[in-house]
Amino acid sequence: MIGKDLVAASSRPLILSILEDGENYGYAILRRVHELSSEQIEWTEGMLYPVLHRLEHEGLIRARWARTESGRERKYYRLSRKGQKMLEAEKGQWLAVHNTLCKLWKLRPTSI
Amino acid sequence: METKTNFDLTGAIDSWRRQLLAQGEILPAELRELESHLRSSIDGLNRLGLKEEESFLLACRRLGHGKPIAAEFAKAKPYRLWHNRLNWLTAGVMGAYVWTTSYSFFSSVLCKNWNFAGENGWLVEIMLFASIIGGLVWVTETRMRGWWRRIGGILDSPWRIAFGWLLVVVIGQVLAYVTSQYVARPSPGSDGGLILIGASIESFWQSLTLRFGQA
Repeated sequence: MIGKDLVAASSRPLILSILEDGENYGYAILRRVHELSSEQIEWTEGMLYPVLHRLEHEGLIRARWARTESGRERKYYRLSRKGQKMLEAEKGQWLAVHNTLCKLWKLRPTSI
Repeated sequence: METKTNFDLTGAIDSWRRQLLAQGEILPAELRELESHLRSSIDGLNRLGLKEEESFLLACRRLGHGKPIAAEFAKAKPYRLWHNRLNWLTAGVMGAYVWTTSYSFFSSVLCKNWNFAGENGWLVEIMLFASIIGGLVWVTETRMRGWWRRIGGILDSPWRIAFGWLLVVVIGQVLAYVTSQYVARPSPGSDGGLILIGASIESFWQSLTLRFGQA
């Protein structure tokens, strides 16, 4: 299981990257992180929403309420232009850390 | 053998909502989003074959405790509680303004067209009070959820609040102008659309005490 601090730090690029694929809502974002990390990244589900609100407050994502076919209300988030730029910067930083660690561990680094 | 349980999901979600609100300062919009998540989570667990009650309990557990969630919301948007209070204040002042303006306008129109002033002035007052309060009750009972969401959305940014204010004041002034131009006789207690809420209540009581106090 991945440590608390790393989970918190990675939540931002994870959310932004998932929203890069298109509009999505909280529960589906969580499911996707869960699947992609082979259940290694586990968030306290309620904690996702303050992160989403923070990203919205910073103008990195935009939100809208919509009703599903079954009549349920859902808040959908999508990436803003500013968020797209931030994601590019985040990618560079995370890959730099990743590549440094790979070199130290004598693994093959991932190219951008 | 299948055991029959009387689990009430709606009731359980209601009590979960109350519990979460008691644990921390979570705003209605935040709670609505958390509730939407809880319901999706319950659906997902139901599909895995869990019973509704089990799904509910597990979904609540996964969602987490209200206090740390509220603390994180506060960190994400430090002024959110004051922002919310300001919205209520604005809505209250706007409501009072709309009330006094429309009250004055309709009472003037009624007095002019049906000559209800004087002898029957108290009847106009009662009718207006009943219809405006009845309208408010109807709105809160039947339309509030959808409306409230829209109002909440409109009042989300300071610029929109300012624009909303301007719009209400302009409409109020137009109504006041129409009242003073085309309705010759002002209603009892009216001051051309810019009266205070207290004045309309006072005139209501005056007309009542005049009518029934003499009897």
